[in-house]
Amino acid sequence: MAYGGGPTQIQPAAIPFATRLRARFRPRAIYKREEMLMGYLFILVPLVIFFTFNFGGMIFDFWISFHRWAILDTPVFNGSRNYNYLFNVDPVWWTAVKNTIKYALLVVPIQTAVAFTLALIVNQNIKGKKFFRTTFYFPSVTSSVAISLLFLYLFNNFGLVNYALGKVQIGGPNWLGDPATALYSIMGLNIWTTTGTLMIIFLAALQDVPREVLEAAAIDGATGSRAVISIVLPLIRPALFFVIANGLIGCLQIFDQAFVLSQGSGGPENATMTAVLYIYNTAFQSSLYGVAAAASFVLFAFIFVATLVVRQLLGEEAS
Amino acid sequence: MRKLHILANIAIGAVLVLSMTLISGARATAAPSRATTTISFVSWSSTPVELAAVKQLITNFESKYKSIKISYTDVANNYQTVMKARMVAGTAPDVFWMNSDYNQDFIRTNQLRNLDFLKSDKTYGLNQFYKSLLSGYEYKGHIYGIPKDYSTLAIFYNKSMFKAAGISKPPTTWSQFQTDAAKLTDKSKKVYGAVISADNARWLPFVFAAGGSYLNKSLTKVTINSAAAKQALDWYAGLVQKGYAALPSTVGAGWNGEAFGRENAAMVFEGNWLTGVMQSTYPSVSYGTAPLPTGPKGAGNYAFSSAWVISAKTKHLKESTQFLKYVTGKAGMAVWSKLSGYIGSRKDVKPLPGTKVFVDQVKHSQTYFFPPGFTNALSAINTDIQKVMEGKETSAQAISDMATQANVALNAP
Repeated sequence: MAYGGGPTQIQPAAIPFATRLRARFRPRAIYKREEMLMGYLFILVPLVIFFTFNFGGMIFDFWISFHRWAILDTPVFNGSRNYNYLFNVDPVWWTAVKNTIKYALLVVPIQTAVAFTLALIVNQNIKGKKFFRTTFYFPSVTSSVAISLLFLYLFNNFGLVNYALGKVQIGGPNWLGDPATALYSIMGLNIWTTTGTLMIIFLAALQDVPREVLEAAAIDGATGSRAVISIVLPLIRPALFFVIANGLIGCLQIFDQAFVLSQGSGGPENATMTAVLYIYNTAFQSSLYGVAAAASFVLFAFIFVATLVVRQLLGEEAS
Repeated sequence: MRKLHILANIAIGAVLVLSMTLISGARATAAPSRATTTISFVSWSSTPVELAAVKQLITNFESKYKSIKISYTDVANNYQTVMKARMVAGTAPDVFWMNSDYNQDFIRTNQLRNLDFLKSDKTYGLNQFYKSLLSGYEYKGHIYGIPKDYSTLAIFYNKSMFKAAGISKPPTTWSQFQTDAAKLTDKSKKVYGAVISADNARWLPFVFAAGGSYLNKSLTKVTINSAAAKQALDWYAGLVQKGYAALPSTVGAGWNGEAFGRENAAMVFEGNWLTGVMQSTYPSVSYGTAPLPTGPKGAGNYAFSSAWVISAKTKHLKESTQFLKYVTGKAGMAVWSKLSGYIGSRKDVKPLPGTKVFVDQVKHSQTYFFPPGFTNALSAINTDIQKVMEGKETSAQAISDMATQANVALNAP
C-alpha cells in the first residue's frame, strides 16, 4: 500500500508489446551485465570477509559445540555431552536465559515507547527543539563501558543517587548489590543510553509522514492520540520494525553493562548473569569452549526465531 | 587516455611494493650484531610498586649477566586469556608468571616446562621453599613452577576503634571475634564490627579451622558436605545475619580493604597486599594485624601465591633457567621482597618486618589451588554464602549446593 510516493502510472499502450513482454518475464534484463559485474566486485571483499569470519565462524562454532576443547589442546569429539551439560546439569545457564528474556521483554517495549514519544514531542514546532534533540541523543554517543563505570559510583549504596533520595526521605536500596534491583538498574541504564538513537530513527520516519494525510484524517475527526495510533503508526511501520527487531537482537545479546557492573561475576547471586556473559565466563574462565560454543549456538537459534516472529508480525510482507 | 590511466596505476603499485620491501629489509638489517640472547618475559602488574620492582629486578639481572637481554611486557588485564592466546599463536614468552588457582590448565596441556632438574642444583636450594607453596604447582609429582612470594590471611583491626570500644587486644577465637564485632558495630556512624565478603577465598579457611575441607588431597573428590563446613558457614554468615558484619557493597566499597581504609569496618580478613594499599591510599588509619581467629579444630588459612614458570616451547632454556635461578635464588628473592613488599617463599630469606603474622600462618595453610574448570564451582560458593547471609537459604541447603556444583565442575564435559 504505497502512500504519497508510488511510481506514476504510464499508459500501457505507450510501451511496445515486445518490451512489455520482456520486462514481465525477465525483469533483470533492464540491467546491463557490466553493471551487475561491477556490483559483485564491489561487495567481493566484504563478502569474503563475511564468509570467512562470520559465516565460517558460525560453522566452526557449531562443529566445536560437539567437542571438548580447552583451546590449548586438540578438540575431542564429545557427542551431545555439551548440550546435555548446558540444559540438564548447569543451573546457571537457565538463570542466564531467564535474566536475558526478562531483560528483553521489559527493555524493548519501554525503549520503543519512550523513543517514539520523544520523537513525537521533538517533531512538533516547540521552542528549543534543537536543544532537546541534542540532549536526548547525547547519552547514545558515550562509551557503554565508561557509562557503566560511572553508574557503579552513582548507584553505589552510599553514592549520589541514594544521597539525593535520602534528601527527600526515601531510603534507596543497594541498587547494584541487591539481587532484587541489580538487573533493573542495568535495564534503566540501557534504556537511558539507547532511546536517543531510536528517537532519531523515529524522527526521520515521522518527517516522512505527509501533512496531507494528517490533515485529511483531522477532517474525518481523527486527531490527537487516535491519529497517532491509527494513522501515524501504520505509516512508520518500517521504522517500527527496524527499532523493535534491532532492539530485540541487541537486548538478547546484552554483555558490556552486565560485565562492568558486576565486575565479571554475573552479579549478586547471578542476578545480572546474561546469556552472553555466561558464554564469556564459560569460555575464558572455565576453559569449557565446547559448552560455550553450544550456548552460543542456542542463543543464535533463539535470536533467529525471535527475529522471524517479529518480521512476521511487523515486516513488509505483513502489509 | 585509458592507457595512461593503466600505466599510472602500475607505477603507483610498483612504488608501493618497492617501498614496503625496503622498509622491512631495513628493519631486518638493524638487528644487533653482538652475541646476546634475548629472552621474553611477561608478567602482570597489579600495582605501580610491583611494576617498578619487576623492572628493577630485570636491570639487576642484566647487569650481572651481560650476554642475556630481557624483553619485558606487562599485561594489565585478562592475564589468563592473553597468555592462552599467545600460546595458541605460538608466541608464548620464555619466562612468565602463573597463578596457583588456574595453573593446572596450563600444566595439563603441556605448556609449562618440567622444572625437576632444579632439584639437583645444590647451590640453588630447592628444599628451602615452603612445601605447601610448591605443591600448588605440582602435577603427578613433577614441579612446574617456582613460587615467587605468598601471603596468608590475617585480621586487620582498627586500633582507634578498639580503644574507643574498650577492647584491649584483638580476638583470638570465633566467639571472641563475634563478641568484639558486636561491640564495635555502630550503624549510625556507618561502622560495622567487620566487613566480610561472600568469597570462597575468605570463607574456606574457616572451614579448615573447623576441621573440614573442600576437596580431598588429590583433588578428585568433593568433601565440602560436612558438619565442619556447616559450622563454619553458620558462624561466618551469622555475623552478617546478626548485623555485626556487612558485605563490602553494603558500605559502598569494592572490596574489604576499601571498607577498612575508609573506616567503615573495624576488622577485615585480608592479606599482605593490604599493607601496601593502606600505606599509599589510607595512611592516616592506625591499624594492627593479628592471626585469624581459631576455630573448633584450631587454625586454618589459605596461602595465595604466584610462581615463575618457563614455557615448554622455549628455545632458550639455558638463559631462561639462569633468569629463573637468579630471581628465585636466595639473593634475588631478597631483592624482590624488599622492592615489592611481598613475602618471599624461601625459608632462608628473612621476611620483612611487620609480616611475621603472615609468615607464622604458613604452617596452618593450604594453597589456593584447584583442578581445571573450577571457576563456576567457586562462583557458586560465593553465591551460596551471600544467600545464607541474606537469609534466602539455610546453611544446610547452601553446603549441599556447593557440593553439587563442585561435582558438576569435576564431571564437566
